[in-house]
Amino acid sequence: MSPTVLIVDDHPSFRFCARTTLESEGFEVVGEAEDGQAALAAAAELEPEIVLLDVQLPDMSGFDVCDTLCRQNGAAPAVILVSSRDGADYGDLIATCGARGFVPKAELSGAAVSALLR
Amino acid sequence: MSRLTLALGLSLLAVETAVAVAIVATSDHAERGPTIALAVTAGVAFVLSGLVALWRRPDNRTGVFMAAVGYTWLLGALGESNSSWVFSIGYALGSLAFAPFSALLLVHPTGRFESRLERTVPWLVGGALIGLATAKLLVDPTPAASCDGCPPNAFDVVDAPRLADVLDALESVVAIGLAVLLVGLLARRWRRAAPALRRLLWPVLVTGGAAIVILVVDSIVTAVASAEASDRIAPLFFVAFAAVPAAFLFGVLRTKLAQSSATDVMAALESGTPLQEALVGALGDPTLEIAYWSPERDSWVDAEGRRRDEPASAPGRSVTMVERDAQRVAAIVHDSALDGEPQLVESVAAAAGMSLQNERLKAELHAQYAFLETVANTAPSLLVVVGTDGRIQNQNAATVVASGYDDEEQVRGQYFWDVFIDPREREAMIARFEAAAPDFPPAEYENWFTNAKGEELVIDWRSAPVHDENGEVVSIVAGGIDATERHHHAAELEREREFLNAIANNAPSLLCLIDAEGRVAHLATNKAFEHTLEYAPEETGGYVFWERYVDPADANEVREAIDRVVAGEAVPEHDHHWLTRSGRRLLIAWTCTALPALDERGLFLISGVDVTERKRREAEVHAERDFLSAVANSIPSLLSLLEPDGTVAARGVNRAFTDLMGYDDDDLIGRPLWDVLSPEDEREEAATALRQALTPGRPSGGEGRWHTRDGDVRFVEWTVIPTVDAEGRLQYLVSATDVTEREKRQRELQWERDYANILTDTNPSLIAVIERDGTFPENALNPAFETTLQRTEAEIVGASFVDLVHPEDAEAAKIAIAVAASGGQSEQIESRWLRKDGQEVVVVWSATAIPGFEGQTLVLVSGLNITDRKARELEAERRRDFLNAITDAVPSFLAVVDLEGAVVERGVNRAFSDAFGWAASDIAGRSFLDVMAQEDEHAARMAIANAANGVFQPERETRWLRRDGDTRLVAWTAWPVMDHLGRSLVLVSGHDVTVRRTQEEEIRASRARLVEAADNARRKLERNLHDGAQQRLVALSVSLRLAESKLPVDPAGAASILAASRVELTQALDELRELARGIHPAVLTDRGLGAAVDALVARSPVPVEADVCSSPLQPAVEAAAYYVVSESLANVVKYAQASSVTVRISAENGHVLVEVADDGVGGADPGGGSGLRGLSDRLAALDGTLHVVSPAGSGTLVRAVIPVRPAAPTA
Repeated sequence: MSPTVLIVDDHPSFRFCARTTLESEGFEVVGEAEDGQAALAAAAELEPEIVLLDVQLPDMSGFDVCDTLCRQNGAAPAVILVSSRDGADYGDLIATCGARGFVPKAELSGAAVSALLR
Repeated sequence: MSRLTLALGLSLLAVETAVAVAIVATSDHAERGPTIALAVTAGVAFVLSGLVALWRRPDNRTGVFMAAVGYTWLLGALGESNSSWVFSIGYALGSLAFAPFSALLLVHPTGRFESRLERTVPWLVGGALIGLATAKLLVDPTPAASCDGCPPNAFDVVDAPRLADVLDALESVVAIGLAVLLVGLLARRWRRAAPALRRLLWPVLVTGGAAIVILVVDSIVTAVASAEASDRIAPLFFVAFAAVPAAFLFGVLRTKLAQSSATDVMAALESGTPLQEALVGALGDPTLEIAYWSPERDSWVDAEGRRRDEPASAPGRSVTMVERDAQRVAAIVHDSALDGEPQLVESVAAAAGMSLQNERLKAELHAQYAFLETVANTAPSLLVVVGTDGRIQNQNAATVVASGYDDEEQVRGQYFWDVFIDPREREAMIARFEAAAPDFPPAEYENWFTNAKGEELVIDWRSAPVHDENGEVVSIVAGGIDATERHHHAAELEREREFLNAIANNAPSLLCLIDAEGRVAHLATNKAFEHTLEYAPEETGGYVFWERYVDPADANEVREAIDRVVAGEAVPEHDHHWLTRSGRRLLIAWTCTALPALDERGLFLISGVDVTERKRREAEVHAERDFLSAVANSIPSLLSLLEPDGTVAARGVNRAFTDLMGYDDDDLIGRPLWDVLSPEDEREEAATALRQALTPGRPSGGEGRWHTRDGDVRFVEWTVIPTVDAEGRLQYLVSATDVTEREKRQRELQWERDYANILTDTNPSLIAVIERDGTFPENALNPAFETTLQRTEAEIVGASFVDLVHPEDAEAAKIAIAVAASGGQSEQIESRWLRKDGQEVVVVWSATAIPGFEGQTLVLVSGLNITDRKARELEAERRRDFLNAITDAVPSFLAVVDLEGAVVERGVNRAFSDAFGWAASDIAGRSFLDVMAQEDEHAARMAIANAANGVFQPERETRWLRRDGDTRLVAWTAWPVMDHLGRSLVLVSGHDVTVRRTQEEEIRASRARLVEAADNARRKLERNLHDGAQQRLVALSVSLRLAESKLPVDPAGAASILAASRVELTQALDELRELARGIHPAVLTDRGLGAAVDALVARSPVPVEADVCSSPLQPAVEAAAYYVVSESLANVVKYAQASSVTVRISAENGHVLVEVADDGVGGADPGGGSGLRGLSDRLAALDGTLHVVSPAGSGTLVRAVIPVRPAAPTA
C-alpha cells in the first residue's frame, strides 16, 4: 500500500510539482493545504502517514505546525520539513521540532522522502 | 630424699661397683693393685658421702653432685675391658667424672652456683674432655699410648698419628686451662667467704684443690716427660681425690660436734669469760655482735649502753633473737653460714640467756650514766667533786675549761686550791677548808683567780657535802658559775658612768635629770646648772623643774614641752626664761631628751644654754639694721649696695629699687649689677661706667638705661658713695634716681616737633597757610605746594591766593577763604589752580581757620592735586563705553550678577535683553535665578557660587525663561570677575542653542529612519526574492527532474511538464525584472530622469501628464526626484481615487522643484506613511525639503525642493 502524504505549502506551483513527483514515485498524495490552520485540519481529517510541510507559511511557522502535529494523540504523522532556504539557516530548530527530517525543495524526490522515513 | 631413692642409689652403687670390679678383674691390661683399689674406693666413697649429704640436706645439691662424681667415676672401669667396644666407650667416658667434680667444688657447701661462669664450668669440663677423647678415638687406633694389652679401638676411622699427637697436646692444654680456671674460681670463693663459711669450706677445697693441682702436674709431666713418670704421680691423685668425700664428711661431722658448744658456753661464762668472747668461741664466728633491747628506752643498745640501729639481716649477716620469759632480751648478729646450724645458734643463745639478761641491765646502767655524764659535761656550770682531803676527785668539762688545762686528767687528783685559787690566797683557802672539816657545811665563795692559761676568772662557787650511809662526809660537791664576764661588764659600766659624770659636770650646758612628773632627781644637776642658777648641788633635787627654775610666765610652755617629750615626741629647742635663786631671769635655749630607761622610772635630761647675752646683742643688731633698712626703704631713690667688684652685696637693694625694677635681693645678691639691669648689648658699656665710678678719683656718677624685670627701660641718674659694712669691708652704695618720665616727656616733645615737620614736608597734600585777607605770609607753603604749582615761596609771599585760582573758579575760592577767615571751615571744592607756566592743575581743597602763634586767626588751605586722577577717570569712562559697546554687540547673552545671584546695575547686554525681553534697567537687582527654569535653579545657583569661589565651570545647558514665559535652551558658563569698584561678581555668559538642538534632534531621527528604511527595503527584497522568483525556480527544479525521469518512459508526459516549466520560467524572469526595477531603476541610470519618469508614467494606471526639465542633475538629486514621483504616483494609485495626475520637475535658482499634483480625494497625512517619511529623510540628506498639501476633497500636492550644487565636471 502506498504511503499517504499531505502536502502543505502556500505556493500552488510547488504543491503541484511535489504532488506530481511523489505520485510518480509511488506515494499517494491524499491532500494539500496552503497554510498552517488548513494543514492541521487536513491532517486531523485525512490522517496521512506523511506530512510534507513548508517551513514558511503565511499564518504560522511550519515549526509550530510540526510541534502541534507531533504532539497530537494517536498516530502522529511523520513530518518532513521542506524549504527553499538552506536547512542550516534554521539552526537546530529542525532537529528539535519533532520532524522526521528536512529536504530542500529543489532536491525534493520520493527517494529523498523515503530515505528520511527509513 | 625418700628411702626408695636411697635404696635405688645404694643398689646402683652395688651394681656398678660389682661390674667395675669384674671388668678390672678380667682385664688383660688393667693394672691391678692398690691404685685400682683406691680408685674404686674413691668412687664408692663419693657415692656414699653424696647419699649421706642428700639424706641430711635434701634441698642442697652438694650431695647430688657428690654422688654423681662417684657414679661417673666408676664408669671409668669400662676402659679396662677386653672388649674392643666397651674399651672404646670406657675410654671416651673416662674423664666424665671431672664434670660433676668441678660442680661439687663450686657449689659446696651451699649447693648453689654463684655466677653464670661457675654454672658453665662443669659443662665446659665434661664437653671438652669427652669431645677430645672421642676425637682421638676417631684418628688413633691405639689411644691409650702406654697400654700394650689394650684391645683395638673400635671407633678408629683413620690412622693419623700426627693428628692424634695434636689432640693429645690439645687435651693437655685444655685440661690445664680448665683446671686453672677452676682453681681461680675456688680461690675467689675462699677470698669472699666469711670466717664461718671458710670453716666449712676449707676441708673440701683443700682436698679437691690438691686433686686438681696433682692432675695438672700429671698432665704436664705426661706431656713433657714420660708415662712412667705419670704413673708415679697417679696414686697421689687418687689419694687426694678420695680424700674429698672424707673431707666433706669431716665438715659435716664438725658441725655436729659443735652442738655440744652450749655446755661449753655455760662453762666458759661460769669461769668468767666475757659473754661476747664466750659466744664467739662457741659459734666460731669472730664477727658476732650482740645487741641488747632496752625496754625503758624502747630501743636497741650496745654493751656500753649506746643506742644502736635495730639489728637486721643483711647479705651474709643473720639475726637470732634471744628471749627470756617471753621477753625480748637481746639479738645475736652473726655470719649467715651459721644459718645451716640453727640449733647450734639457738642452744648457745639459750645457754647464754641469763648472762645476756645481766649484760642488758648493765648496758642500761651504762646508758643512764652516759646520760648524766653528758648532762654534766654539756652544762655551762662548773661541777667538781672534792675529797675531804681537798683533792679533786672528778669534774665536768666546764670545770676543765675554767681550769685552763687541756686534759681533764691534769685536773683530777690535784688539790682544789692548786687549780682554782691564786697563790696569795691559797693559804687562806686551805685554812678555811680545814676549818670547815669535818662537816664541810654548805658554803658560797666568790673566787678570783688566774688559771693555768693565764686567764683571769671570777667564779661564784657553792659547795655542799656528800654523806655516806653512815652520815660521814665522803666528799664535797662544788658547783660554780663563771662570773668573769659579768664582773667585767659591771666594771666597764662603772667607768663609763664616771666618764659621763665628768663630762656632765664639766660641760658648759646646764644639765639636770627629771622624772616623768618633771621632778628634778637628787644630785642630778651638773656644775653649770648649779652655778648658773646659784644653787648648791644638794639643793637642786626634789623640786618640779618648771615650778622652781622657770619664770612663771614661761612655766606652762616648759611644762607642755616636757610633757610632750615624756609622751614620746621629739621636741625642738626652745628659748625660755629660767630664774636664778636670786630672781634673775635668764634666757635659756634648752631641750629635753628621754634617756634610755635604767629602771622603772623613766628619766629625762634637760639641757640648756644661757643665751641671755647673745639674744640681747642680736636684738640690738636687729634693731639697728631694721632702722637702717627702714630708712633705706623709705627713700624714693633706688639704693643698691655693691661689693668693690660690682656684685650686689648681701644687704642688696632697697624697697624703691625692688618696686621700680622688679628685682629683689634674691635676684641680685652676688651678681654684677649691670648683668641684671642691662641687656646684653649694653652690658659692656654699663659695666665700664660703673667700674669707673667704683674707682677712686673718678667721676662717681652717671646716667644709664636700666631694664626692669618686665623689660621696661628706665632712665636713671646714679651716684656711687663708698661705705663700710659691719665687718669694716669697703662697699659702695649706688643711689639712683628714676628720670624716665622726664626723659620721656622731652623725647615726646622732640618727636612731635619732628613729626609735624615731616608730615607737612612729606605730605603730598598741598598745604598753605594764608592770612585772613587771602595773602601768603612767610613760611606758608609746604614742598608739595611749591612743586605742584612750580612756585617758590619767595615768589609768592604777599601774593593773593585767589590769584592762583582759575578765574572761572575764583569766586568759589573767595567764598571758601571767607568762610575760613570767619572761623569756620569751607566745603570741599574742586578748582583749577594755575601753575607758573599757565598749566591748570585740578585741586580738591578746603579752607580751615587755624590759630596763629600770635593768637591771630589764619587760614589753612589744604588741597589735593587730582589732575592725574581726573585724566584717568576720563580714560576709564571711555574704556567702559568701549566695552559696553562690545558687550552689546556680541550675540552671546552676558549677565553680571553679584555673589547672591542678583543682577547688577546695567548687568545684562543687549543680546540678553532682546532674547529674553528684559531691559537692563528692569532686571537690575532681581535674582538672575528667576531667569532659570525651576528645575535648573539649583544647578545654576551652585554654578554661580562656585564660579565666585574661583572654581572652573564647564559649559552647561539649561532652560532660561523669557519674560513672556517661553523658554530657550542656553549653553552657558560662569566666570568670576571684579568690577571697577573691586567687588567680586560673576559673569554669566551663554548662547542660545535651542534651534541647534532641535536640528540635531531631527538629524538624529532622520538618520535612524534612513537606517530603518534601508533595513526595511532589504527585508522586502529578501521576501520578494523568496516568495517570487525563488519559489518558481524551486518548482522549476523539481519539475525538470520529474521531466528528466519521465522522458524515457513517458515522453509525452515529459513534454507537457517541460512546457509548464517554460511558462513558470517566464514568470520567474518577469518577477525578477520587476524586483530589479524596484531596487534601482536601471532606466534612470542608463537614460536619465526624463526617461525614467516616462517609464513610470507608462506603467501608471492613472493618466499622467509629465513635464520634466532636461538639465543634467547630480545622480543623488535625480534619484531623489525619481522616488518622489514614483512614491507619489504609487500613493495616487493606492489612495487618491484621482482621475488625472500632473508631474512637474524644474530646476531654478539653484534648486530642483518636484511637484506631483492629483485631483483626488486629498486628506493625506504627510507624517502618516512610511513612504512619505522615507522621502523626507532622503531629501533631508540632500538639504532638501518635502511639503505635502492635501486638503480633504481638493486633491493632493506633493512638493519637494532640493538644492543643487553645480555638477562635478565629468572627466
